[in-house]
Amino acid sequence: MIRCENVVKNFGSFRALDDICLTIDEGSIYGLVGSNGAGKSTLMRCIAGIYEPEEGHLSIGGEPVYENPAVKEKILLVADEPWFIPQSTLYTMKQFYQRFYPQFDEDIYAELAEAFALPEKKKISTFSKGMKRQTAFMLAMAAKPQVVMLDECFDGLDPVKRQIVRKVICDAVAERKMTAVISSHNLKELDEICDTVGILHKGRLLYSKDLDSLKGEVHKVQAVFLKEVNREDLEKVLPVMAMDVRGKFFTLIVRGSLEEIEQKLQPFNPAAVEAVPLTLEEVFLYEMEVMGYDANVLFHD
Amino acid sequence: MTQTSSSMTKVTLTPKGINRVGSIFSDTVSRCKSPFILYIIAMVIFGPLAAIIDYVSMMSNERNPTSWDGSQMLILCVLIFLGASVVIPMVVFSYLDNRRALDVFHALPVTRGKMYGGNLLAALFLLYAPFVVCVLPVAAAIDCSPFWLQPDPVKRGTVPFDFLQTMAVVAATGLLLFALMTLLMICCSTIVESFGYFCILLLGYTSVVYMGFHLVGNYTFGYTSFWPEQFLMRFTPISFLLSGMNIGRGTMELWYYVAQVSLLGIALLVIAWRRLTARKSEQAGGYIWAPVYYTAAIFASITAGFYIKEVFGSGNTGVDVVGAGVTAVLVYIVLDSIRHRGFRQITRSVVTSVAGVAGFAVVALVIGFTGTFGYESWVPKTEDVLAVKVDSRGLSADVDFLSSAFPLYDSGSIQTVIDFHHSIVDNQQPLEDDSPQPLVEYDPYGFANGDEIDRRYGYVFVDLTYEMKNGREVTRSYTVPAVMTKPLYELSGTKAYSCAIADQFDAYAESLQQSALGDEPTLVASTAPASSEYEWHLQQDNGVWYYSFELNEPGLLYKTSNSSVGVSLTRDEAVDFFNGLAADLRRRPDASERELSDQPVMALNLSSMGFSNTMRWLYIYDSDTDTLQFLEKRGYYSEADGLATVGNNDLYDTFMAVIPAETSERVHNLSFYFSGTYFENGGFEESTTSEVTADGREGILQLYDDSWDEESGDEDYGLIAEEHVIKIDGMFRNLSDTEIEELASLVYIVGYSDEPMDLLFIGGDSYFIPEENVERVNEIVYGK
Repeated sequence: MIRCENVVKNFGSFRALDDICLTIDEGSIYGLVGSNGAGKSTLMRCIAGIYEPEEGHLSIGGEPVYENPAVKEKILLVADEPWFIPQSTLYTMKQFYQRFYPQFDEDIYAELAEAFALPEKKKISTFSKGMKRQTAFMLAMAAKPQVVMLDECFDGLDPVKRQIVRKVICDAVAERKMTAVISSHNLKELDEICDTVGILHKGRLLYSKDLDSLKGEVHKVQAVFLKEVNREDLEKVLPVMAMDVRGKFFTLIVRGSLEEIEQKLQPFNPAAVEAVPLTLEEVFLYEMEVMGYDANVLFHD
Repeated sequence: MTQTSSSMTKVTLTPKGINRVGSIFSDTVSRCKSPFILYIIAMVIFGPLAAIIDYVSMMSNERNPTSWDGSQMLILCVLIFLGASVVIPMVVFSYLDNRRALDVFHALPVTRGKMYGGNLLAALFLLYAPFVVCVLPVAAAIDCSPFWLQPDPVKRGTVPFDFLQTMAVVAATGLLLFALMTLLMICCSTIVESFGYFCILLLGYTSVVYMGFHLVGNYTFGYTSFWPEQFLMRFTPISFLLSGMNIGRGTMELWYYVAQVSLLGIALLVIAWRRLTARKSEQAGGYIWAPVYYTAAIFASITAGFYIKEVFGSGNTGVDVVGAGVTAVLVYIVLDSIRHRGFRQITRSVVTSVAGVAGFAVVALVIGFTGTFGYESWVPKTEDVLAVKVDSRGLSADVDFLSSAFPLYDSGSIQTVIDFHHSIVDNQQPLEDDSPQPLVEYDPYGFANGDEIDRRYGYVFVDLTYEMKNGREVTRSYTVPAVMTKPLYELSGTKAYSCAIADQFDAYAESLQQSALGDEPTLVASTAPASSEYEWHLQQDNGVWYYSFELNEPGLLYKTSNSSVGVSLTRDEAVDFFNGLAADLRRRPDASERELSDQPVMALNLSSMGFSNTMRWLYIYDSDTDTLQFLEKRGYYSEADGLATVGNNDLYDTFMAVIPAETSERVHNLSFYFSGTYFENGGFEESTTSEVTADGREGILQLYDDSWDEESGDEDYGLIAEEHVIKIDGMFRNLSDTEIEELASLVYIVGYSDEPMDLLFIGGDSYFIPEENVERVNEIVYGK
């Protein structure tokens, strides 16, 4: 449904998005992860029709987004720092959204207002950070978008509210095939909700894959060798992304299928080989490490 | 259909669905309702409410008012409206300066064009609705008040709807301010920056046009009434606001202004629309749009440079030019630093601005050194000149003997002025060498006037204006020694000059006859028309309009009479008076034929008649029979007693001295002599000291001789070496009314003498003493 082809976005001489090619299917929940300043928010703004890319094609349902009200009517962006009309209340913000989104659903609004227990007549400026985020989320969801983009949507929410947000998103996806694009640094959260993930780094899209296949491509393997094994020898036969050696106990992060990895380890006579499931966070960290973006940079001498 | 990049073929988009300007309009009005309510309350208080109070108060205080002049009342309303025209776009478009708000608004299913249109309509509604509701009805009521207060159509005359026209000017001015602020809100990244550039552009444009054209007018062949200046100045509301919107301007010019300003406002709004829709990404927190920035930077730098030169100018051209250049560079660097949020680009800013200043300086130097435009040496040919106008100032405000209000068309006068001009141009070098003043008074920005020129060295500020046959007007300004201006002084006494004044009075009388009752009469004089600011026509309680002006004693008696005779005439009487005065002026002989003893009997205050920009006094002589008979018939004057009601007061503790002819011959810079008043200011530096004695107080008048500056080399005042000081004994005296009148009858007020004469110095002025009266004057002054 959402299709980006060679999208480029510049801010002056700074290239925020570089040749992004991306397809997000209708009814999917897409997790957008990346380092700080990778271009996640910029990509979302391009998809929301706020920015016009300098190069490339960007469409939703085959229609261009920028300056296309018919398409933008079905898209909603919940920004990382939500904005509300100064001195407004939840009620006035509801009127604002109703004015521009004719499909705004009072029932959903009422349901979410009850779930989040937000005061309708109180000024939003007095709300806490989490309450403001809930407000932005519920207004967006009440507008019944076909595509919703949630930038750091779990930030500042307590576990119960996170659960509600997750449920609301999943219900909307299930009921009306809504597409959700979620950007978050809370990869555990994304791991639980997303079916597809894209990793952005320095404006480039490193991966855009379904979460299972992404995890299937990278494995964490723990092996014990009876004989002395050199790291270099292992690196020669295996695409090792990271390795931790403690005596004869090796922990390897390796790209490739599990069968292939086990096969390549056989010549080294391992006493035991065990594959441990990787979390999205680990996949992200190891991929970033390969790109030279890792926390160890602090400890290099 | 897919969205394409700018580098590829652009696909025409057809927006569908919700895309209503109305939604944006109602949303914007709803968002801005708090400031809007405050704005409305203010407008209601200072508009209709104040009007009702004013009207009720007038009706209870005045007997049978014939019109309601509430024009002053709405000033606050107008100021609030103009303030709102700046503030409202700031409020409505403030979302552009907030990245989070911008995400919300530009993600809405509305095209940018319609978003802009909706916001614009809402902002215009917020601005103009209170204006239309609160101000226009009051303005209309004020303008239409004669219809019910003065039912007689003859007495009412034509109702000009002045105030409503003024409101059109206000509305147009508001539109321009609104449009400029809107454009800047779209082009700048913060509200503060937008407002800063708003001020820079508004003031900078006005200053650059004003000063630029004065430079052109002064450094070139002269275009003092250059139409492009008027045209360009109409694009800025500053001068119009300062002039009180429409005061002193004709109806046509007012509507030209309204049309020009409105068109400019619309053009700015179109540019703003283009700019908003052309942006591919939002600039919240970004840099100001380059065209706006460079325009503002150039305006600000040039203005600052000119201003520094004008205000702190040392008189040394080199120092002034360098100072102006450095200032311009600094201003540019500051603006560049603000624009780039830091000083990192300082080298580039310096290079850019220095290159700009250098280019400007090179052009100026080439023009200056080559005399490209011939300011200093060009004198028109007689056959090319249609008329001349001369303005002389700098000796005394009372006797500035020539005024540019009275153009001279005769060939003799034209030739006199051209010859005088040649006498300056041909002797430029020696004149400059001898003069402590700059000979050519450049006054490039038009800030100075003759009053600012130091008078103590005997120099006169002269404006020569040529009305060319090709329609151009050329002006040259000089500061020349008083001795050079003898031909001009003679010109002021010619029959031609008297006739030129008479022409103006005739035109004045004619305009009085033709204008409706209560209208401002206008003058034909092109350079200094009667100022309509001066309310010299008033309406009496009985509804009759009358016209008033002042008469006074001439010369010494004027100094001691603290009041004037106020002459009040009906319109028909005023017409008769001016016709009579014009006839008298036409009959006057050339001043050279007039005996020195033929002294004026009274002085007519021209500024009290609205000629505020011209010489103050027109002397009336015995030979002006029509005028005197007219005044005598109405009791303002009698041949025996002079002016009817002006009394002279005693003078207390006044310093006086008699300057002997042989001394005055030695006094610096005097080689011929005008009337006393002229002499005093034109001739010498005086200072007095006093000493209390047993029988009164004696004082000393200190003059300096004509060699002091050559020998001492001092040009500062008060540094005259003792050997150059001429000391004249004087007295601090009390004079009774009778003594003053006698003294006044013994001296000459106006006149000219080629031979040195004794002078009476009194109260800071000096007067010729005829030889036969010297003894008696000495007796009165010194009590001998």
